[in-house]
Amino acid sequence: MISKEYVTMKGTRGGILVNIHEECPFAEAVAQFRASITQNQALFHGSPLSVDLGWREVGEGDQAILLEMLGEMGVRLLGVISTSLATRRLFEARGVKAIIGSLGLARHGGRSRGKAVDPPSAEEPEQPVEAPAPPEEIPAAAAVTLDETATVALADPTMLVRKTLRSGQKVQYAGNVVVLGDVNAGAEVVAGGDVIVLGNVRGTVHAGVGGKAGAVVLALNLHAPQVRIGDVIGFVNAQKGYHNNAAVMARIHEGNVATTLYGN
Amino acid sequence: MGKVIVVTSGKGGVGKTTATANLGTGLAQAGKSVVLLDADIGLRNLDLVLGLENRIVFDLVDVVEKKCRSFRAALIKDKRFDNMHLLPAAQSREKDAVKPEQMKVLCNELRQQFDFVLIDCPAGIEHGFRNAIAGADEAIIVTNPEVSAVRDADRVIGLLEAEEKCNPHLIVNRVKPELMKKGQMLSIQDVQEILNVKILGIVPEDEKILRASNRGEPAVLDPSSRAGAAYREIVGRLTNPEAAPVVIHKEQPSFMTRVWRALGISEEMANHA
Repeated sequence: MISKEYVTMKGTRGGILVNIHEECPFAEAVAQFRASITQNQALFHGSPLSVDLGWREVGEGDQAILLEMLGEMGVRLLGVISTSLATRRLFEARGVKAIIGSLGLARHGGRSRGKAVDPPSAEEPEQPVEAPAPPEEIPAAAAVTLDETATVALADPTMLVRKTLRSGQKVQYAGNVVVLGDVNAGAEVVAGGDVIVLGNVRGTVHAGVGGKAGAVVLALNLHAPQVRIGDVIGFVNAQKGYHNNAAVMARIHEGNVATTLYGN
Repeated sequence: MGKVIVVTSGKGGVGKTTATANLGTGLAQAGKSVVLLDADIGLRNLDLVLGLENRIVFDLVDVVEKKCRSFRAALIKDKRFDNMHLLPAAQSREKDAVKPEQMKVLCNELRQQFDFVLIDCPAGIEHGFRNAIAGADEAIIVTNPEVSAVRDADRVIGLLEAEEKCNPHLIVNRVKPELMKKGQMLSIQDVQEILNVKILGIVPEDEKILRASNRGEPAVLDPSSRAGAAYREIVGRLTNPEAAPVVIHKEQPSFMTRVWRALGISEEMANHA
């Protein structure tokens, strides 16, 4: 039987980063992880460890398996990276730092539950802009209380795209995305945070992936037939006159996507 | 050292082959040495439009598979111009018969011998497209002022920009100024706004193109063809980058229409008369 690699390791300036594939049985991944530690004892005991869970939703049982294994092997866990808010809260509750970071190994999850959307076929020569490498050090953040969520949101990483996205091009990023240009019809922006487009939006924009509350989409000109925020798809057909040639902000209001003129 | 230009579009049927034939013939007419390379393997048309189909002995796939001595054996000299040649595609093979690396090598060889190498790209964005752009320095994107064509052109421009290749320029083909004025056809400004690339030329819809294809005589040779005139202008811009700016050729109104207008009678009234 051919065994698949569920766990990959990478050395970074801030220590070791271990990626756990989102779509495999967690217990098996932890077993492979344990095997890796056994094979590289000196490495793991000498350097701080961060674990990237991607968009996987980790429950209490799985969390226990992971933390127990690390405890047994005597490896110190610096923190975890996860795009799932629930998972981050869970680890913080156990005193483990958690940040939003990159989108992990597998394909980006299109819904807040983390189910993957079909990726473009391998044949397509399109060039999705790649997310930068995860930050080398987990910033010092104590257990986050509700009052501090505003500050944490401000600290979310933001990607700046300094060009127009043409049809077929896709940008995906776990934090906020700002586009200095247009998003042409057939292009996609998928972000864990807000999406701000300083231009025309004719393509598909999806903000708040992974369950971030209060995510918004802002566009100088919103021509797109649909805007997605979190789990909700809003059909913001430009029936109302103000959608054209006016900056518009879209956010969730009472379960639907609502748009308002920005700056008024 | 010559220039290798690929004529592509994404969408099929917008006028790539027509443009390649006309631009090539126009450049030859202007005294440049030109080779036209048909990269549409399996659905070759460039030979038909040039009237050279009866002279095909070897084709692109034969050259790449070394079934003939060199590309020279496959070149067909044009009927009218000694300085223009055609390297036809194969009809009974498929696009994967040639690889991008092979196209790059061939284009480099052709570039040494000719001022201009024009590559007729197949429709689509798959293997055939990638073959056609592999050896090219520049790209001419042909589109129609129509939503599907513009959307596909945007996709193709995105693919070219992502490889940082080819400095694309645009030809807007099959333009009907009357429909644009009425708002029934996308305007040039609309197309510019979406695609945001430099326009190389605007070619009007012209019935004479159909006749030209059927006869194998490109319209650029016909002084009475409006599309031909537009292609001649584009050739001027290709050979001299600081040439005159882009203008849409309007239809010359008929004699009777001009009479009515001179008399101050509106067209509707004239038609009822």
